Amino acid sequence: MTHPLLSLEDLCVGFTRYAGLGRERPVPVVAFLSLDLARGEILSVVGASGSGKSLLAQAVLGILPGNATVTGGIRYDGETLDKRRLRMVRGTEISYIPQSVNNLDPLMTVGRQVRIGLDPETAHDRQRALFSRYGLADEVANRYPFQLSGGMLRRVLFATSVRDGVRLVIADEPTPGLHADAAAEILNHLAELAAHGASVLLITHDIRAATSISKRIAVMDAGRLLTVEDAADFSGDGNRLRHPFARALWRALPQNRFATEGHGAWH
Amino acid sequence: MALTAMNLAFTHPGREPLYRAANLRIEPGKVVGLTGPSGSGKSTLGALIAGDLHPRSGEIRVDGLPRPRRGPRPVQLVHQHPEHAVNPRWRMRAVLEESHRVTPETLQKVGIRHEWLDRRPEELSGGELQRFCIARALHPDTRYIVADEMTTMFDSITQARIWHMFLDIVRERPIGLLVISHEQSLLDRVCEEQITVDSLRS
Repeated sequence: MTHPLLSLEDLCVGFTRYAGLGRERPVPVVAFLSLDLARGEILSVVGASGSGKSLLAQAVLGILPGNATVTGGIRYDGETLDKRRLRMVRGTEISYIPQSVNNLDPLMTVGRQVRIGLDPETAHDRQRALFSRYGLADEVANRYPFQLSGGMLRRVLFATSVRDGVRLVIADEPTPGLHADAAAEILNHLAELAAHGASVLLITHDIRAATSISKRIAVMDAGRLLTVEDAADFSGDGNRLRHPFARALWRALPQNRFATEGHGAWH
Repeated sequence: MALTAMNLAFTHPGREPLYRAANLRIEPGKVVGLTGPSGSGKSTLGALIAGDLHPRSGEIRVDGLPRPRRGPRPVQLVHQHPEHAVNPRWRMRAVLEESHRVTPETLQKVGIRHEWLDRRPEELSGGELQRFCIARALHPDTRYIVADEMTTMFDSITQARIWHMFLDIVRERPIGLLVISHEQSLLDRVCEEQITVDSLRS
């Protein structure tokens, strides 16, 4: 049996906050989270904003703010993902598609941003190839981020993030604010990467995006992993969903009941 | 009585004209949806209607009158990212009072807890912060509100809660609403009427 590509074991993330009078107070934000991601699998993590799902991604990538503490195990391809190993694989084997288009440099043309980190000899050709793969016209390369629509910026983020030989893609909220067609296109790109053998961790609050491309959906609330559900069970009235919070999320969708029941602590 | 836009024309600098002669009408208490692909000009229209952008030509009237040049704007805008719409250094009480003295009844209806008033924006969740932006937009002189992707960043439960609350208030006052969203199912759920950006651009 092959081991999972990414394996989290009892992952905890906490922040120390200043509590006045020289005291510091630890605030736990992700608690005892265990999760496996298989090779070629697309696993979605859904939950409210503030549920800790983005922190989960940042913990794996080692990009949490300085006042964060991480305990528990993160294994990548069978080995512990420590700082040294992370430096080797981050940006090459592990790609991160960040949540906010504010991660782009507003003062640099998007073409130049996509060429960062590419071999200077071939950077222009590679950038043009990436643009065509993500449906961006050649002349877009000379524009600045503020001159592009939200959908185009998302595609630029893909082009800056995903490199040949990628094995793990972590996408943090890649679809909000996008029209159905544009969102479907972004999800297709993720599915394509998975079809080529990469594993994808999709972090989203959009249940429909999650169910459209993944088989398993991890549901988080208030820093805890509540349940891992089958995507197929997000259907009808959601009666087959095991966890009440998963049912509440499903039933609150405008195309379902638009229901407001279900509040706070489910754990 | 209605919010009317007549023959609005607008062009982003250095681009093709976006709107040449757009017309729009929203009555008090009515919920009108605006749909279109990303980048098609939905938010630009919302900003024109609310007075954040100025049309090159054309006219916007609020209940028959031109919009006032000073004082509270009768057409308010609620944005997608509440954290970008409030002063990060102010406490929430000051954020509200910048608009007006929001009554306890409104606070209760909008679902703002009293203890949140002494917090700063970073100490509230996006959904909680958006409730403040809604309360702030509900100035006594407000007649119409543009809700531009107001709940796009939130989970489905938070979205449903905010909309139920918001629709109750705007129907009661009554305030006319222009709802901008990429999410067809949300527009189908909350709007009585829907228009496409394409129909305004032709």
